[in-house]
Amino acid sequence: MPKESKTRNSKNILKRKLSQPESIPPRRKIQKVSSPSSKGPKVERSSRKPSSLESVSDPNELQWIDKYAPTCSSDLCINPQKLKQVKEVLYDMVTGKSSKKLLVLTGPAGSSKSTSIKVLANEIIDGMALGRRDEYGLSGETDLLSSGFEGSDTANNRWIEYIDTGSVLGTNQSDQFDEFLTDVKYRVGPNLSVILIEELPNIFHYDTLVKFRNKIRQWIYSEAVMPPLVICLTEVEYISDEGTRDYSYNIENNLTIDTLLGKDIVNSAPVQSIKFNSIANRFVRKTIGQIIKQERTIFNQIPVKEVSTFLDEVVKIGDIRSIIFNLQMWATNYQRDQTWYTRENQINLFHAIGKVIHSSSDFEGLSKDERNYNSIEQVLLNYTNNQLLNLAILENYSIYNDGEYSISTASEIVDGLSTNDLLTGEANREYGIRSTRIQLQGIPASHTTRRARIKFPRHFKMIRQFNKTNIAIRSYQKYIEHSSFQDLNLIDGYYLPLIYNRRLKTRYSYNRLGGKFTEIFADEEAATTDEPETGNSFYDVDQFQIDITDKIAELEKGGESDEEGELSEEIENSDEDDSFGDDDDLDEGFSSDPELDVLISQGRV
Amino acid sequence: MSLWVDKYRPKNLGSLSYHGTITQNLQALARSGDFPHLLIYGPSGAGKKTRIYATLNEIFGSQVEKLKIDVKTFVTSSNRKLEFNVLSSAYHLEITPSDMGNNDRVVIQDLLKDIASIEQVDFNNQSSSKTKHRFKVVIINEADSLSRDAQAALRRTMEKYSSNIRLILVCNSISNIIPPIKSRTLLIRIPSPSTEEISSILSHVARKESVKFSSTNEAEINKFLGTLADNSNRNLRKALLSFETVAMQNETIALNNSSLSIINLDWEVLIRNLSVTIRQNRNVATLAKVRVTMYELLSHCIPARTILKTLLFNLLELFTQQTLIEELVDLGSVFDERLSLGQKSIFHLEGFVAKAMVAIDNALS
Repeated sequence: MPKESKTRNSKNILKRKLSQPESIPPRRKIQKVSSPSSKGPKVERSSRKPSSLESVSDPNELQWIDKYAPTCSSDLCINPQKLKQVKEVLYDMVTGKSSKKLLVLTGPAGSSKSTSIKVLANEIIDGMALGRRDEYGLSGETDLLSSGFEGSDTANNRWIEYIDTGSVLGTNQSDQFDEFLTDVKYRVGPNLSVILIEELPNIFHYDTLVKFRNKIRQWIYSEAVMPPLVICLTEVEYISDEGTRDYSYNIENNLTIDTLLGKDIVNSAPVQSIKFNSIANRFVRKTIGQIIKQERTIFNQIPVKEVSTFLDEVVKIGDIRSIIFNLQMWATNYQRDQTWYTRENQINLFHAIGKVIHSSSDFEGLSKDERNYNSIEQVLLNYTNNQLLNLAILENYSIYNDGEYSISTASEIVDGLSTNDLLTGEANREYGIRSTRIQLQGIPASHTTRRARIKFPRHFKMIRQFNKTNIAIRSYQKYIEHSSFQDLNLIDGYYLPLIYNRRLKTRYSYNRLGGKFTEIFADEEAATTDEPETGNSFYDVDQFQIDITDKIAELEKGGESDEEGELSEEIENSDEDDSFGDDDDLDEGFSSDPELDVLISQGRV
Repeated sequence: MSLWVDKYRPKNLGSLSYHGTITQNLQALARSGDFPHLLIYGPSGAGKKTRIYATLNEIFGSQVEKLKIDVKTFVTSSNRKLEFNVLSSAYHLEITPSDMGNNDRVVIQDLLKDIASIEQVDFNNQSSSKTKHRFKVVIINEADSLSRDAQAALRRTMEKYSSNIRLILVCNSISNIIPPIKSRTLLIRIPSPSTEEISSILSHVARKESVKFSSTNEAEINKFLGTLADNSNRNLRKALLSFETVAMQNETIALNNSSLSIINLDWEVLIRNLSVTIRQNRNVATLAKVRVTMYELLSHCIPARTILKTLLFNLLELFTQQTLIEELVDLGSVFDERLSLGQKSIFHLEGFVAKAMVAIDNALS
């Protein structure tokens, strides 16, 4: 199944829609061209309607990615165990054996997520209802097409994919998703299909995200018999070009299953999630081997040694789509001694940290200087989120050699990072990592094994806590005591609970204003700011919070009658009072719903 | 019921207990019924706000203490909704620009224009007094956190609407205030009270509240209150609150062991422990440990500069070598500057700690 890798924004959705036709016809060709695999059961698709495009294109002009698209599960480029797991879950969902309503596949791009689902859907459902497909296959496809369906081009496909056309057709995007799910609900019985959501509505728009989640909630808690719903999510880290101060990890810059669906959905009973990893080399090699065998006319012209060196390089990418693209471009344009650009496409944060701190193992044989230079160059080329990288280096420089090196070296590293923070532009990208590498190169590594694991910077955990504290103190400042923020935080916040808890007989005790001081540690995985941590929430029961709520209620009641009396003096404020009431609702909301509160605060702060 | 710090807050200029000359000036200012724009600065807990309210009280009467909160909403050019709180009485408004974030220029301009376009009608004073207050007072808290942009805008506004508005800018230090504003305002510095002044206020409160001490010896009590005042860094608010806390925690305050009964602030304790850690272990592992606490402090909205300053002063107490002290102060000011210039304070805080460790290592070896 051809699919460009996605960046999910509305511009691309538009582009995708326009480029969609070209992605359809090639798939139909497959069956007529040389069979990509010799083994495994093959489903002959005889009922395909010939199209004009089909007669034009010659199989040899096809991109290999389409030519060798898998048609049965044994062809899939995936770890067989992962495949088995997905298959079992999907089978139980299709047959109604399990109570799971939603399957979420997450993983990097090009790890066979959606392809697996499509192939498996056909196999499982066809296997169940052999012989019935020609009767029902065509029903209702024409009118569905207009409201965003793919997969109906071939009557035999047992999956329906959501295509977001909102920006093209002018319909409201969030409504479109709504409609889609409402329509496909009836894809049960003889019409049974797997519903695949790979493209998402514009979930970066907060309201659309809420609608999306609500619709998913409705779906998974519905009593009716539902077709199996699958979401394939390529987890992406975006590079924020916004101001760095309020930069935090949320759906804006980090699309993961948690930021998309929210923890409550992810952890609910009817939802199953499976995490895919980059495809391991041996599975890639198997698939690539098949292709090389098929394309022997091309590969026969290339020395075997060259092919194997190239493969060694290219399989590192771990993205099957990208590997095949690279392979085709390299092989069809092969010239002796020509090096084709096959660098890693994008290295992730943890790789980048490793390359800066330990230097890259790719340049083992080179001299120290060259090795440093190349390692840094590799990071600069392939990793762009330098704000995050610098924070991460600060977090991790101390693991080098298990922290056994002189404090003066460490101080130079931190000094470099600190100076780096003052710089702007290109210098800001390079100074910190270069100076870190240079400082660390001088230390003989006595420990060959790296004991300490690389950690994700805890900056975002800090920001989250910071926001919580900020909101708590601000609302106290707003409603109870109008002193300066820092007075309240630094002085009153600590003394007041001590005084009040002794002096006043309140139902609950007062806690440290803005929450207790909690140590913040780094984790090995990226944390999301979407949800508050459970457990240490200071919204639990705190007398300060109750005082604030009381005060708000009092203000709402008192405010109106008060205003009548002093109307003459408050003229200029009268229209502000309307919005005042609204905001109170908002604030009351947050005391009962911390999740909403965090989201609001992120939008606002 | 109310806190001592509020209960014993002087309500009018006559009852202020220290800085006699400033009080006299303010009294003269209040008598005239009119005043220029003011820029009142001084360290926190010195009594800036108390003096402002006392002055306003003198001019407008007790009405200024009837405060209400308004939430004003403002839509920025990028269509983001922004809201901030305005504290107001019939005669004045109080705003805090840090609520407004990066849009403080537009917000402050709009708000002041709004207020200025309405001439203040002074009903209460209409017949009785010869001075009519045709202006509204706007108190701007934390004026030093206003962006340059906003300050420049303020300068125009100050001249344009000077007939309808009197601004009172309040800040800790005027180093961030642009010269044109300084020149258009009457600068009044409120210094911190001396420790003697603080302990005399404390003993006044102790008498009024009949706080029990373990001994009736006047000298011993004064010694204890002196320690308390010392410990407050000449911040009266902190002194009063910590005194009340001590009084609440103990039925009778034991005088023989004053160091035990004084209650230190949680964040100050954290920083003090940091300095002790730095003195004991100076290696890469300690740096990583220090980072945990640094993030802990930052996450609780403790300003990075406060952390740096407190840590530096704590370190200075631990060492006696003259050269080391000079070097630490030097490092402190270097990283203080970087905190203002840079983006993420953690780099600079850790940078200071690392450099300080090296400096200490060199001095001790």
